Amino acid sequence: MNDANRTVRLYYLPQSFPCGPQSSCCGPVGQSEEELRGYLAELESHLPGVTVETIDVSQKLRLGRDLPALKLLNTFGAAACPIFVLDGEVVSIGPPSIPELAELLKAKLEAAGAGQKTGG
Amino acid sequence: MSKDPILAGDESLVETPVTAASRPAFRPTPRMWFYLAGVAVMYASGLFYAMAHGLSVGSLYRYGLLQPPGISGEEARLVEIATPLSWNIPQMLWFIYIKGAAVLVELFQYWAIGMLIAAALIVFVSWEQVKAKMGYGGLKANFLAAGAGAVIPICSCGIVPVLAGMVQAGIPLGPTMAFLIAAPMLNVPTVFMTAGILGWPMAVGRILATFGIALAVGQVLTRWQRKHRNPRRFLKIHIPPRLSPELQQYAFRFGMLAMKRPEGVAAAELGAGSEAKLALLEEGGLVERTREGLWKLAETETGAVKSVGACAVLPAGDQIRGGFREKIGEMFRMGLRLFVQLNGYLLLAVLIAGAIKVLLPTRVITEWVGGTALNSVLVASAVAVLAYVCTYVEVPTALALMSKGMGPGATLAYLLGGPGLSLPSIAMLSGVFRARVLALYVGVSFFGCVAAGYIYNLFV
Repeated sequence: MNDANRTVRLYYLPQSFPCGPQSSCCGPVGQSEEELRGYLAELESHLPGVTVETIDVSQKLRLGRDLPALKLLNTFGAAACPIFVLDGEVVSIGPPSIPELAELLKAKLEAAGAGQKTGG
Repeated sequence: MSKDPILAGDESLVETPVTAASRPAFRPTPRMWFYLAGVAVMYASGLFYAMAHGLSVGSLYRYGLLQPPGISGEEARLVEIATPLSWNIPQMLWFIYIKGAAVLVELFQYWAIGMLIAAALIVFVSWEQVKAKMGYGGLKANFLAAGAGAVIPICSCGIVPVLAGMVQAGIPLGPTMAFLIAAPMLNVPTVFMTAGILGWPMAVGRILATFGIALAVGQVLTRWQRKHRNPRRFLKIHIPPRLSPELQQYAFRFGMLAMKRPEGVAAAELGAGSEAKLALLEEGGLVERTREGLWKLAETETGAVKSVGACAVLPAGDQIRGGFREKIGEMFRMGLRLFVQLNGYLLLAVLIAGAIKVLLPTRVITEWVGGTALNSVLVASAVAVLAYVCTYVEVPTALALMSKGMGPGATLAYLLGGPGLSLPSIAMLSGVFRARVLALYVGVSFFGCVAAGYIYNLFV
């Protein structure tokens, strides 16, 4: 299996405090930098060779590329972050358990690789 | 998820419904300092003018009137120095200013006490507890919500973000609407001002009428929502609710499945108890049932809602750490903050009141809204809606109108309709509520004002 050219998209919302700095009543909302770095490091260690592309959902998204994430954000709001997408397929919504997510991604990548071999 | 072949290559950029907004800590702006200085200067002017011209300082404090000393009885509430209408514009402007300043001297004491009481309620009442007691709507919850609205000092212009915050917090539409009606129509500082300036019967009439209108709308909406659970039937915007962690997990699991199968998912596929959970998600507007009995993610428009925090204006008793002493300190800080933030309204209110006293001929008022007939109440309600009287402005302007001959029932209708129902707030809410809900809100509020004024005339 060659995962080198595979990309997992991680849609995240930079952490903010809607009701004032360090307030807890309506937040914090989104992911902190440490959290994000943690996701990236864990995914890299579990899935060597897979590129993780981070996308800030507080910025504008591309309608074609980011449609699944956009639909989820419209329905669930900021609570849906982080969203992990592989090949246009949503693999995780909300704060994940990284080992479980890595297992799931591995299985998906293997299945895709097997499909390519069979097909090719 | 099946990809839409038309959208797959679409590179156009779209805004997402979430923003990384954060509210900075409160710091008075230069404009707030300017208004504060304006209030101080105007207050001092009213006092000095009365003293320099040998007018009664007691009348200034009691009735907001510039009158010679020694007047007593009913006359004391009416007599004021003459300000003949003329084309001497600087003189007219000076009279508007100084009569407004007189109203400010009377109003200020109630304003300051009211702000402190409002701050005490914000600091000592826990919004979490209020919310928990609201349950699924019904009379008790609607009453509680109207009461919560009545103690929180927000203006009609700020109700849309609060509405979003309440729906997000999972509060049903009946109590939400009861809150939104009561909040601008009634709040502690204005009740104090009404009682102090226009008398307790007027303040009690205002409280009863506001609760009557808020409960009527809240009850109808509670019934509607029990019949149709999906909030989309009532709201034009989609506000994702805050779910419990378990339901959130379930919703995400459903979301993953639904993205793969946009045509719909059978509840049985998600295990036992799914129907009940999906019904809860339907109430939050997250999922919908297809004609075939399958469930799918609800269709939402891109960028339909922004993430909003409503806590800025809601009681935060549970957020303030420390004991009674710390809360008292916070109460004074909050009181000062409210006071500094709202001085602009106070200045606007007293200047309008001064202008009414100087410029509006008494004959116009007595002819159109004088007496106790139904038409005077109708006209007052209609004028209040068209005039857009912001919360806090209505009491001094009502005082000026009453001194010109406005009837008591018409005054009550004006006090209710002015801040509660206005064209800008109807326009704002038309972007949030569907036509049926908007018609209910406008209809019940308007006829509630008219009925309250008419009934008040029968008793007073």
